[in-house]
Amino acid sequence: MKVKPPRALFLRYPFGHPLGEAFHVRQQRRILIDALTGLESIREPGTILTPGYVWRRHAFD
Amino acid sequence: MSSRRWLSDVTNSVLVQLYKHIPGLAERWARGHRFVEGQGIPWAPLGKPLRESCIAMVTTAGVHLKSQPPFDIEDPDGDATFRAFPADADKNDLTITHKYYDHSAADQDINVVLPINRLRELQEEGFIGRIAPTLYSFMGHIDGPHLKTLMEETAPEIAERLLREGAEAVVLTPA
Repeated sequence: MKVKPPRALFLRYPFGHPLGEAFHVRQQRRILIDALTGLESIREPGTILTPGYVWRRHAFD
Repeated sequence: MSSRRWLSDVTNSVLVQLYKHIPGLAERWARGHRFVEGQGIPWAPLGKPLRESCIAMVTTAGVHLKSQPPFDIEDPDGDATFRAFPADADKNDLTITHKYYDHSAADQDINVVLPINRLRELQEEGFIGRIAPTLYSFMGHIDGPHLKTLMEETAPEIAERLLREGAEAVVLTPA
């Protein structure tokens, strides 16, 4: 099934890790906040946010 | 276990690891696969600020309570049913039934696929208004005849339940 979501956040992370690494609270929190913030910031249906975090290399401060 | 079944399970395990570590493979598979396509782009603006909104979560990561029946991972076309459980469920009571992705990290920390602890923290901080009372979960492998069930029965039922429970936005997490 292929659908176009109204809003999305895309990260080039391994399958099975949409929120990142286990027990990495700052990473999980940042990704969830990015997604939620899109609810207010995105005005164009189909917009995909790409924050570009690099797997295991981005410093989530 | 029959040798045919054993071979199928081993092949599946190898593919799961390949898709996990080589994202380009999954993209290549997706380009060559014929999907049933949805029409248009659904859209509903958020009617109020996040800090006043009721947020729900739905995942395709195969999460469910240990006390609930597992998803059917033997049917090659997957399973179009869903599991519903309280948003305040203890993470130690949750498990994952899904053989089409590597959930070893999510087995250790459910927040990898269903960030319920992070969402609770954001609620306590006032970043969101509140969390919808029920979490919904699918096993994200649904194909063949089960697609019709998904589109005509289970998905509309979940949408109706979410509306009835006061959800004003939904975070979908795939796996």
